[in-house]
Amino acid sequence: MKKITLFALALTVTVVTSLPAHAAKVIVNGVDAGSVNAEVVKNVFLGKATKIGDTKVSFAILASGPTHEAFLDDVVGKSPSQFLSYWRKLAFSGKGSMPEEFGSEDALVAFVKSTPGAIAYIGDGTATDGVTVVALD
Amino acid sequence: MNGSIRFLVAALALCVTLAPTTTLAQDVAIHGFASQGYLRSSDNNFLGGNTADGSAEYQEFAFNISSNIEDNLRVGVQFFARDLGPLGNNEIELDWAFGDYRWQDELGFRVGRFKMPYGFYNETADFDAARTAILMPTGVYDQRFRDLLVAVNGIQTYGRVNVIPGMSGGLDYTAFYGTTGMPADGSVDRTFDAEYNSLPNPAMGGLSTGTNLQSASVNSVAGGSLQWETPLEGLRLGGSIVNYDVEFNFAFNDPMLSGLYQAFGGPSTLNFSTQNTNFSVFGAEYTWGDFVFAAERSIWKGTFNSNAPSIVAQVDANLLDSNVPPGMATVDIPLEIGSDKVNYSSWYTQGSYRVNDWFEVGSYYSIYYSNGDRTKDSPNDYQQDISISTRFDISYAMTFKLEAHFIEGYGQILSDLNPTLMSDRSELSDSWTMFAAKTSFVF
Repeated sequence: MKKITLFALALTVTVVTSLPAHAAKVIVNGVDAGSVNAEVVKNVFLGKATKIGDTKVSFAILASGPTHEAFLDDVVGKSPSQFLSYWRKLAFSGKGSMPEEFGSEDALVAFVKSTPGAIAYIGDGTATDGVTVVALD
Repeated sequence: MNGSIRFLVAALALCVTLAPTTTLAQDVAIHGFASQGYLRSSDNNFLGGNTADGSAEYQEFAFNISSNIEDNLRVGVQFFARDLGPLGNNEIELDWAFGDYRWQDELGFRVGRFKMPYGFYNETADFDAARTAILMPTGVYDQRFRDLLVAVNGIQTYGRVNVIPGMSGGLDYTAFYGTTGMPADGSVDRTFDAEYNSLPNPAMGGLSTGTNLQSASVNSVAGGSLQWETPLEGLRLGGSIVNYDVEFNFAFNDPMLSGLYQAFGGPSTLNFSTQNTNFSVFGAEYTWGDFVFAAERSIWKGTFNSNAPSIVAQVDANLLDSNVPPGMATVDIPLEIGSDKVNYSSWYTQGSYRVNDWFEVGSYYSIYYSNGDRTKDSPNDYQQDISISTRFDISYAMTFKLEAHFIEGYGQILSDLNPTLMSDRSELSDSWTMFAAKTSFVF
């Protein structure tokens, strides 16, 4: 019993300490912000979820950079190389297509703004006119 | 260069031209890869032809096109060619081609030819850039049985469910039913031919009891896989099982023996069939920052039932030895073709570490047993492999790898690559090394 308690404690500590720090902000268009949480966003960016609430979503990523790295680390739980390898595995087994990439955060915001059901992420300094910023609690 | 290769090169050239965007239209994507490897072993020839002298017969090419034609419906196709020693010879094959209807995230269907979900990595076993190592652990991901494990023609259902409400993680499941082809001169064909070849047997009047696989057919294959992403961030547990209904038809290598067998009521070919052959694998993978650890254990168990009656052929000794006058003596030749059982098992544990943007290291320990008792009485009973791998990401699209293997036993090497295996096993080395280098281009 003591061992089970210790294991449960260790599991809890690990889960709590691995909660995301959200260095990057999640932005959406036409998505119920109340349905967005860290677990849902993670599943969307790993291709395991295609809907948030009742809305069909499409996501896009930055090609590289600190915002990209922070988002993957904090929310998706993967490094950029792990994320790239993950999606390449899906692409070459036929189970998914590589995510759409953008070279700048402004371009990413423009994509979300013009695409109903879109979800992406940006850093603190980028203007968010026309999109909804979601806090991941 | 034959026609198929010209077609592949042309297709790759087209894809390369389009590579900067990898997107033709809004929802059409094209991807591909090309790999070239080199294998050199200290002694025994393994996988890539004459590796003891060094072999560059180690290539893979693929390109695919896919499109989301409706919100929930996706279609795609991938062509693949490879050369691995005597296997493949760069003939283009249909790797996968299916329609994927994802009704809900919890339930979807694929119809067509799809990669077989077996273990964590089987679906991308041909894709070198997906991993740190060049050679995957050869026990669990056994190249000898690739034809049986590579893909399924049939129907698949899949989905993801949250098994513990309120907790992170989820359960990815898939189940499938269909069949799969086994090409003549493919990996299974060559493996069985190598396994059941034999030299003239003095106890049988000098006749060879060896057989040659004439045909093989998979009547059906059914299986499923579960992968649980646990609430412990980075930890996933998985298990897969695949059941085969297979028939193999063998012919005796020695026409004299074949004639005798038929003369005494035996069939012209030996049919072995099984409905209870299972491949199973289970394991765990843990990602912790830039470290990835994994361990898997696999078992292949099966009983092959033979259609052949056991008979004793009593023949004139003159047929076997012309020095004996006709009618002077007879020789009894027992022809007992019973059932055959296989019981292979293997496991491995591996770790890798991403040092920086362009450099990764990894290592694994893998062991394979060709007997159910998992003993090492003979070097042919097992094959143990300790590997050290390095991976250099030269650019986003290009990787280069170097790898060393320290191997004991030779339970997975084939006699057609090692002729001495048939005549004098003492010439094989039970402690040997293998060096591998490989570069891959991905778009």
